[in-house]
Amino acid sequence: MIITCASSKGGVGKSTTCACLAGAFAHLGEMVHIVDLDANRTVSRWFQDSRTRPRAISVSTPDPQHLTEHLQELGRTTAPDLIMIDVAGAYERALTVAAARAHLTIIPTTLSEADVYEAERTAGHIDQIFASFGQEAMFRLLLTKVQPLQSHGQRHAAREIQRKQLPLLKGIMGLRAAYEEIGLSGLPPHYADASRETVAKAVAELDALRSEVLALVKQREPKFTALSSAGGIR
Amino acid sequence: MSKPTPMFRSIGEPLDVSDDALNKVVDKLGVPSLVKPDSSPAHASRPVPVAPSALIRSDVQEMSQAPLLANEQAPAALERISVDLPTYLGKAMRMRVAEEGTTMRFLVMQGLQAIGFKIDLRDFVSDGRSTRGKGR
Repeated sequence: MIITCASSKGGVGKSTTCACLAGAFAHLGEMVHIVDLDANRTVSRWFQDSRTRPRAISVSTPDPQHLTEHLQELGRTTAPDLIMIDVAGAYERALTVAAARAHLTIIPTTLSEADVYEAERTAGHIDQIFASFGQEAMFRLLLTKVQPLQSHGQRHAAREIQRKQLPLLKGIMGLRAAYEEIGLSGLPPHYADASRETVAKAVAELDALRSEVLALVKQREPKFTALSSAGGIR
Repeated sequence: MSKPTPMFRSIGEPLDVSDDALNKVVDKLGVPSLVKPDSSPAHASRPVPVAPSALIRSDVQEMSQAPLLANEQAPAALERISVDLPTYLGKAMRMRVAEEGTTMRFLVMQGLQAIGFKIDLRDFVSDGRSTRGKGR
């Protein structure tokens, strides 16, 4: 299964989403490979220390121009259960190819005008690409950095997403220290200190998100009917 | 009896089309490609362009004390260009600049570089705010 985290805007939480979901799946014993296409190398930097990186997670940083060949090579060699692709926050070719090769594209967005605008733009672009080949795209927006007390502006952004009928994941990622700390510790919430409240809450959010993602892919792809939260995702 | 027409577009695998086919659509839509920074030896020793806000105190001190390389040229002369943009775009740009702690100039140059304009690294780092201050 291939999941792409994409948005034409930076700072929306693509790398965080990628690292967190990778951790959530890896925690079930799945082999997860992250393809880092972002020139900033955020995810690969977080996971560069092999002493702290979860064993089930590996990362590669191929030339975005050769993504298709790289995915084929991964399929032939290590054949991970899940491949997560993190793209740069820009409207560009690599985003297009990464979305085209994915079973599901997650478009993270915060509840701000600028992020929602770019999320809609990204969604429209992916839709257009798939429609060019007579297929329907599979993408979902994911709300990130959601604050417990939402401002008027945030509530408006949420209403706008609803009004524009942009498909949205039910699960969210709140504004939590556990997410922000990945860059410091290299540990996604599922591998961090579970006794801390922020970690426990993040894990609960991610478990729900993982289940929702699996259900979506199963619904779309009959060959994934064997998937379960405790089973393999091959 | 006529053959029924499918009501919906088919939902299938990820796009099983060649990169060439994908590229044709991408080109048709005018989607740009990000260009890798020049990594030739002439540029290798130069600092990577960073947004002004990314600099920390020690970086600033180090850069201000470091002598210019013999072959290093001063930044190019500046020209003021003003354009009228849709209000929503101006707002989105200001928000992006605020969020990333950078400048409008840096944002615009990033965009121009992404679609193929050549911009010297020495011109990329500059932060217009400092030059305005010195002129007064």
